[in-house]
Amino acid sequence: MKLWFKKIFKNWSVLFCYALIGGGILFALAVFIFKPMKINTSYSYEYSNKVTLEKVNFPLIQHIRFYDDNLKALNIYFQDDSIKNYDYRVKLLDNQGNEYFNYEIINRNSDMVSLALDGISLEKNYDYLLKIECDDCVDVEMSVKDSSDKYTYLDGYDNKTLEIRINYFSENNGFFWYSAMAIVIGLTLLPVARGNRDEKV
Amino acid sequence: MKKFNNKIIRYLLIIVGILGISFGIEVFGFNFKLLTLDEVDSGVTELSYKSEVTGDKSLIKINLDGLYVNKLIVEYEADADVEYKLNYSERDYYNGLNVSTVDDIFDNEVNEAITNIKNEVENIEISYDIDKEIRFKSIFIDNSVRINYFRIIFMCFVMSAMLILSWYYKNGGHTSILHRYFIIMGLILGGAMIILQPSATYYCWDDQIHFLNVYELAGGNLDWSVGEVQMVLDEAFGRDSIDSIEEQINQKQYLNRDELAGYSTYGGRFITYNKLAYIPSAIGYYSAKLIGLPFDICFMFGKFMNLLVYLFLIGYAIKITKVGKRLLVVLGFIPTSLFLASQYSYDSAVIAGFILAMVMLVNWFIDKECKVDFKSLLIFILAMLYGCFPKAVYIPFILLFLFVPTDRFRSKRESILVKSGIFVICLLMMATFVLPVVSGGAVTGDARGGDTSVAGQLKVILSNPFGYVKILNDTMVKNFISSFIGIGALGSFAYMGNLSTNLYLIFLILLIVVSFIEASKFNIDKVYKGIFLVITLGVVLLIWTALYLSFTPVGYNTINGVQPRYFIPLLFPFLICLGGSKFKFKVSSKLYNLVVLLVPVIVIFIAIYQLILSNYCM
Repeated sequence: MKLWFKKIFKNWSVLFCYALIGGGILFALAVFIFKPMKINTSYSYEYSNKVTLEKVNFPLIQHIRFYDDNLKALNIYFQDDSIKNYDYRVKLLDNQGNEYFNYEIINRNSDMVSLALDGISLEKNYDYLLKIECDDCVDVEMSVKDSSDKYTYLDGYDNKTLEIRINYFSENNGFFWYSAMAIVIGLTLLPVARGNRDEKV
Repeated sequence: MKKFNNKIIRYLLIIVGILGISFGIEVFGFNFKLLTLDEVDSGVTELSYKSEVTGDKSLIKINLDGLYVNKLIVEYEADADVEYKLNYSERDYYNGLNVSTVDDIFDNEVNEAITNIKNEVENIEISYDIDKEIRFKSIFIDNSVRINYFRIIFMCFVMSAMLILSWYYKNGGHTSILHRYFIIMGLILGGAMIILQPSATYYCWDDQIHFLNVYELAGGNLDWSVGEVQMVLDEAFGRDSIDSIEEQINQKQYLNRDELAGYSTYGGRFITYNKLAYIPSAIGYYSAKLIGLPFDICFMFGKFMNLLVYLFLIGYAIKITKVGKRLLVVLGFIPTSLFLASQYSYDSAVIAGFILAMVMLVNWFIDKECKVDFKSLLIFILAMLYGCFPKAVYIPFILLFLFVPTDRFRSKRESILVKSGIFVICLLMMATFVLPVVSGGAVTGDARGGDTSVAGQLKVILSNPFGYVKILNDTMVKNFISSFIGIGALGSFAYMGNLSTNLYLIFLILLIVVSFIEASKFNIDKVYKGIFLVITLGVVLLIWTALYLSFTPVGYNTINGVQPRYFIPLLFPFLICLGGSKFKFKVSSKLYNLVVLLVPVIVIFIAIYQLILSNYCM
């Protein structure tokens, strides 16, 4: 056992490689089991008819203006279906804090929600705030917005339905990427490190 | 012991001498006019003025009848920033009247505007929009002798640099220690930029975004101080708001207020790979903050750490390279690169990491004795990743490793295994920017480019690939030279201005001459040179395409958003392809080393004087 230990770890560079590989595997397992990071939205913006929103953490607040004042529904699509696990609330407000709608989405079990706008009169080119609150998602404040992207202009479909696509990158995916990179670097260095050890022997 | 004491005394005398000479030049040189003024005209004099309204402008008129004005000081109160024009008529060389105009801002955060005039003035007129509310408390001229410590610091830096270079030359000017003097000169030049530049953002490209990313690296709930929030909001002090050293000091005093701005953000608990390059700046900033230093010092420390990492990476590259040491010195001293290294920016990480990785590669290609061992491979991988994390578009260069000759490894098996690993690393890095687009995730464009859409643009390209090839060809051909070696690439200090044409040409000539001299030593096989060129051009295409996708409105016939600084990292591999030229230049190694250090140092010092000291520190 002692000899085996010495043989394997004789050279520190070999130890370093095994630490990278082992550390990467253990880290990935830990993230997979414990899922330390909650959802962190990263959504993208697309013009003309469909709009996806720029990155912000929950509560998600986006300044919007409507081109069309006769919309029937507002559809929100989430890129990652882990939103199914959470309850959230969608509000539309103006700068004075007046609410135009306030929908609570519970046990939705879907990555898409359609909010009726019937009976809600919305003005064209007026500053609104779309707010999506998700208390269990991430305990955060609003992040800083790039001032050049203060307003999102929304256009309507022919059937007067507006789509908002929210794409987000779960931070857990990032940890997996780091684990993969550590493992690959360790495996890449290992043949050269072993060569060092073998030469010394 | 006696020798050591003598050395200490000698160094102390040199320091005292430099300080003394700088102080003497400041007092008897720059303040000579003020020292020789009549007693009546010297000191501080309050002025009487008339207020008028003309059309949509409010005017303040002051009659001076040829009085010498060193600085004009206006004390005021304003609820919001007020832009104004200061027109003053001064005597020219023929005793005629010449009207000069200064555009400035009455900042509502600091209640004093100080303008340098330094001439005999007949009258002064201040004009601003009639609907702006501002209350003037007093206006006076200041002709008192003032010691400008920023100017003294600059002179000390210049004299120290010249002294150190003369020591280097006198002690042999050895190539083996060229890297040490590169780092020392870089610290002096970069340090001068950091100290003299106002402690604010919006002076360098996207520095407000970079500072935000540095600040949020701490993670968790973050409360912003008055100074910190000024760096990221629109209301930051404008570049036009500083015309004198006193205004810069006033702004620093405002920013250093030890109070919270009532503004909070959340820095995620996860550091994404594209933010790893901010770690040095974050360490510098938060280390200074932890020990309670004022905001502007913390701000400088963040920049200083960025500079330190840049200089050490390139310094190490200069030390270990088998060929082209002088070329690397000149590339490291590209004014734009050194300027970026002294700012909140990740471009310097890209440049330095990439250059170090390329040096490792070139060593393996040209030197049969240079084997792929653990240390060199680890440095290569880490340097390449450090340079590519902020901008993964450069990662295809790692594929050059696949062409490293097999005899640089211990066995063919080892060569295959390591090269396979490098290939997978390349795929992982490319996944960071290819996968989101392909999987429908990042369909957005950069809203600053206008009506942009990555997905939309990709559809346009795929539906008409030949059309896109034509756009690429036309745009690249038109902008190729300016992108690689134009003044925007080599001699730009971002929003503070560009080097003068003469300075730019001097540096360009040096770069070209040194490239030809050093290129003759890059004895790389023609096949490998061809591969270098193909991959370099491939990355160039990727850069243009990336900006077409993300920064150009859908369907445009030109490519927007490509900045010359994106191509700085590609200069080294591109110049390697010139290798093997028959250009031979016989010059003493000592003199050659001095020239490659001295010329960039002089060029950059003059640029610092013209673009930073003259505009913000007088």
